[in-house]
Amino acid sequence: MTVLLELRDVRAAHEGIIVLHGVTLSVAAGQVVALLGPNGAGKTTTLRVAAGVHPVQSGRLLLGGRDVTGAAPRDLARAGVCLIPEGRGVFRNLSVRDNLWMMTFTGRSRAEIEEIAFGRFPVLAQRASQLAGTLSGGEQQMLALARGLATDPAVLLLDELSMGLGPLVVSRLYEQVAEIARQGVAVLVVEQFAAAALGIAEHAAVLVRGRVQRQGRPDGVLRAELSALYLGSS
Amino acid sequence: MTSSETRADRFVRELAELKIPDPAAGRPRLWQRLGAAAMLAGLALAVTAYLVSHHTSSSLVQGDAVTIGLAAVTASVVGAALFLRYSLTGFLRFWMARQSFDLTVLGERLLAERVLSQDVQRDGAADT
Repeated sequence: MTVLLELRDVRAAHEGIIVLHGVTLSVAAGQVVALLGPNGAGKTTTLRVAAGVHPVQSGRLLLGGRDVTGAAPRDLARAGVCLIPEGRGVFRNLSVRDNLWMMTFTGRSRAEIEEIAFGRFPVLAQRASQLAGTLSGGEQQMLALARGLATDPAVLLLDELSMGLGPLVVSRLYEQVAEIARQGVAVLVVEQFAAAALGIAEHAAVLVRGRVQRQGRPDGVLRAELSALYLGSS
Repeated sequence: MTSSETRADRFVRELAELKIPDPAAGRPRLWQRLGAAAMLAGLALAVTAYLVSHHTSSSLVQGDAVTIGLAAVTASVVGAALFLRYSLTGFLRFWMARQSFDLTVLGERLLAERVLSQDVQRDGAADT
């Protein structure tokens, strides 16, 4: 499998305080990697570094084998890196259709974008004229995903997909994420709701205080370590 | 692009072709400084031209002073344009972000009011 996203020994800081201490991880085409860990571990910063939004102090960011450290986020987005931020990032005061049409900057027609979005999330077609702010949390997240898919991403970065959503909605959303990955997209998911992400991830990394404490297949050992992290070891 | 090319292959190919400017070069800042330097140089050249023209009675030297004066005007105009272009960019970017934020806040407030009034109407209808 072609490795599409790779972080090598990345160190990053917020206002002079180091929050990532040499993070190394990679995501191949068609693979879902879950980045888990408690609050303040540096998960979101890792995603922002991968999208080129947050500068690195040292280390390298590689996309498709090419070193793109320090490249402008717009260049990475144009190449096919899509970040869906925490809080969904939809325009609440615009209709669902308008939200989708904004993605025509990618060169796709409105019809194509609607076909992609409504094909994957039929409920959005029923809500097409509704203001995005009046959608349920799950529907807003679907809209955010649909907008992301309209960019034809090769690398999809998802931040806290499950935030504020019920377990059933979360499991449906993750089914869609797994389907997206099956089409060859490299997916990096940052999640606190570990169970949902581990359900579809082939690989997981546990980030604690800016360091990858453990990574590998999401087996029993990793789940036990996560439980200990979240709940405290006995 | 070949028809058998996967998205991953296309991603790798496009990235290899992508011209990524080196952000370390800090070009905008360099242009801004160059603009400021050109403005100052223009000022200095103008003073030089004035002094040269007033300390000679030779028309040839005065011709040189005129040339220096014109160069001073050119340097000042170009420098001012560069300086404004690259200093305003940062300001306008911030202004646009602020506008966008304000619009979002306004939109959310209007939306909340609309939802609230719809709820009130619905409750009123249910009561009657």
